[in-house]
Amino acid sequence: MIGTVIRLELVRLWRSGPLMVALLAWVGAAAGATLHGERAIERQRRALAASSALQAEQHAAVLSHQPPDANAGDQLYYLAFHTRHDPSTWAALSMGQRETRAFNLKVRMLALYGQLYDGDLTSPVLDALGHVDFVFVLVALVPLLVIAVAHDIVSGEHEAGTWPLLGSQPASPSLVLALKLAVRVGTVALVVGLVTAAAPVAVGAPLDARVALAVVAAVGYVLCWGLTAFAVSALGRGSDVNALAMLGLWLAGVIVGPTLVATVAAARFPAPEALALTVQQRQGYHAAWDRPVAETMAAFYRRYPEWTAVPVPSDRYSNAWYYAMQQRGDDAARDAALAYAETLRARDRWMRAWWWVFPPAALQASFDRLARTDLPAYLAYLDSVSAYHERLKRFFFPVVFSEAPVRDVAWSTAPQHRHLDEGAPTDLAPGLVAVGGWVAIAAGVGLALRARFHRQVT
Amino acid sequence: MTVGRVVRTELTRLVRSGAFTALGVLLAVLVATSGLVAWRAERAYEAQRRRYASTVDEQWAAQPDRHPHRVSHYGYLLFRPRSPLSVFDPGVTAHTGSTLFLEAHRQNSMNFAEAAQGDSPLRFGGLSMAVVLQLLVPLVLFVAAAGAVAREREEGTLALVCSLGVPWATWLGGKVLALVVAALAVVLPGVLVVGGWLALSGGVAWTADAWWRAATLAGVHVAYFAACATLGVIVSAACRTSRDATLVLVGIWLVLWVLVPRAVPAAASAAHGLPTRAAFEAEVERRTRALGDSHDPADEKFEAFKADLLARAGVSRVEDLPVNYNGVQMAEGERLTTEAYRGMRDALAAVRRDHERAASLAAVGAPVLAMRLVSMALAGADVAYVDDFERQAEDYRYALVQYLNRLHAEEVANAADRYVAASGSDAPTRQRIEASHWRETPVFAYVPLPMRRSLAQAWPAAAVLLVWTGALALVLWRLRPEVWA
Repeated sequence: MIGTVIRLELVRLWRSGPLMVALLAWVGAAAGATLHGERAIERQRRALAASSALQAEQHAAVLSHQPPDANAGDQLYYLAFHTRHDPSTWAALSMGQRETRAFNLKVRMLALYGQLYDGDLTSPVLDALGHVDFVFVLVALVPLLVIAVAHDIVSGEHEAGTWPLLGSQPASPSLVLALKLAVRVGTVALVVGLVTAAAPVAVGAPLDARVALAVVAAVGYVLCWGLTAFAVSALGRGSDVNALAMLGLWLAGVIVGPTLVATVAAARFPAPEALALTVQQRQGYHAAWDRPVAETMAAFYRRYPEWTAVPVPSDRYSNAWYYAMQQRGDDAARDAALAYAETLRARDRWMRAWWWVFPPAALQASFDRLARTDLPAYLAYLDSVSAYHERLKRFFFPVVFSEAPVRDVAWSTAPQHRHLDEGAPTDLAPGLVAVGGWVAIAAGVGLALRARFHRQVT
Repeated sequence: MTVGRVVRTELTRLVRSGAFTALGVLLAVLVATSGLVAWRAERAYEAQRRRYASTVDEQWAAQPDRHPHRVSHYGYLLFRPRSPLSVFDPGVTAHTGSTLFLEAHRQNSMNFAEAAQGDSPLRFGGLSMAVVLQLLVPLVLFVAAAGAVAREREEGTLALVCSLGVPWATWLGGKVLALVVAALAVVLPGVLVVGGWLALSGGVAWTADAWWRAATLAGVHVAYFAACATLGVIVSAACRTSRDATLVLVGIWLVLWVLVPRAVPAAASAAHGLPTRAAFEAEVERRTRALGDSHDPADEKFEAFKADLLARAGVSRVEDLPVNYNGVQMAEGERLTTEAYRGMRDALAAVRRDHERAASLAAVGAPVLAMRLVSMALAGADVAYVDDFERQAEDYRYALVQYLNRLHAEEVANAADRYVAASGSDAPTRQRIEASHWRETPVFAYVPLPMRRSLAQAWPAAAVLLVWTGALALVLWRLRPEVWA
């Protein structure tokens, strides 16, 4: 009997033109989004690969312009060193803000805080319209599929007039309906799970625990919405009311809720430190031009005591004095820069606390974490650039302090930068917990409504 | 049966329908909430901007005696003021930076864009009043309009109306009018609350141009609601049951209001690619390197320029010139590099305009895109408005730097224009000029883009919106619904 119900339901699904079209459309959208993500990340990878050639070209152009005994320290003003933030293997699937944030910053030996916050070239109108990636198709569009498939589990029987037939079946009506739900939602879950397993492979991510957990998360997500549809259905209103109620939940959970949280977060954490650090860095550096050399060097030696013994002329311009002045600019802005990063992290944490209430956002945020395309990943990149800037300074200080000529410097041994981090399977934990919690709640509500449901049938 | 009667009947039906009242209240709350949150953020931003702008001004005037070229590297910091209506529609504001550093030899980017500091993971942007009015109100209108004709057909009253000899255009027009009135009733309280708060709190530069923009925005939104209501009524008249109409309308909303706009950036950026910053700056540097180093008076690329200058002044040595040659060469170098950079920047702006044009093209299928573009343009939050600020800032940068270069040429003697030995208590320096000069430098007078030019920039989107509204009105006027279910 159970087998019959399942087979009948599968046939009904297969014959239903609109539902098959919806499933195919979703698969098409997922494929398109994956392709788009892959192309965008590929463009970034190509740019990063070309970056070292660009750096070499610029260095050659600057250095070859000079006679070999020219002061090497003078050239450091112009030489730009490229930093690389390589995309992780999952970045194509969950692009986060990678397309709008810098991933290939150039730094010169000058004060860091004037260079660190440059953005990349983007098209603001396209950014305002929002980008599509695979995880968006998963999180925002799967619920629509589930709604289309599951909204008339109960009410469809009412409207087709087969409801009394159910009551006359040997098995309990709630079992029959649970089976129908299982078949419908199960079909969607199967399709979604297969696509979620295929997408990472298609973009070149290794087949590891992360893929398995992603599939679990996707199937769990389908289950959430399926159980919610069942609970809404069990309230006993018509199919279109069910569909509208589910659509309202989708609107609230996917669009209105998360955007309202983000808007309030931006208002609550305005980050004035950004403007403060810009003003302080500029003032700190330029004020040093009007102070005696000894005063600036004293501040410099507090940070780099190893250079205390090396004499710096105090009656004429020297590059050591120049870079000590740049350091003063950085020192003046350091507190504000650290406070800025902390404010951004605090804003991110505040938003993530709200995602427990909005599981779709929690799921997308978890995938962003897995793909290392979220805000903390960007801040980690900026930290790595700061550390690289420090290494550059320490490499070139001997050149500057000794006033070495260009030909004596081993330019090709200068530090290079590369920053790559890969997500770990545990990154998906918040999303999985949020989805799991919702499944539990929806199942609980559904079970509670079972009693009311029985009364309807008998 | 007059239009007024139709409107009143339809409004009664809507109010009696619990669903519409609930949705309406929800929407009103959303409008008010989003407006108040946006107003609070805007106020904080404006206060911050004013504070740092006056700090920068004070620091500029308080500079001690300095060499003019030092001052042109000290530069000036600008913080972009936002249009007062960006409380309503922030447009691209979150995706464009707020801080611009003006200095010699370099054109910097605007940094610290709001969206780069944190955004909703699903990247639907922020919930602004414009989003609520342009995305959510149409959904509510569709749901309300689905039953407008179809339910009457199901209940049989459509035949009655037909038999009364009421012209279809009047009756359908009345339905649309009722829906628009209902939408306005939902939206206006929130808008008025926020508008009242804005007006009472002051502190925002509300000019005549802003009033015109606000009035035009209001008019465009009323027309937009009417167009959406018309679409709803047309579908309702075409579908047999109100259930079918609801399904079709919600489907239309999902595809044309949510999904298609989301797919546009992928298509547009695939069609017109932007270079990366590294590639762009490498190209800028290639071009400017070819122009020579204006810091070096012996640079051979300026030989011809130097020879020409000497010939025109009738002297044979640079030291005999009445002005400081270093300053003159700096001015010439600045002119050349600025020209090279502006050419490249215009190429970038052309690509961005192509993107906007692609969005306008997609708007032929999805009218919400046209509405968003027009709304952004009118609110002073579109790319053209921000670009205009950047252009004025760049012009100011050039004027300021060339003013300082002229000071360099005229006030600093060539013989004293090199680093001299300093005593222990002074910094080594070239000749400094008096600090009073810094109070006479040109001031940045930003003139916001007037509405006329904003609309001119957004004409493709406005045209698409007009065509949509006109076509829908035409269809409604000629519609003869099926009387029986």
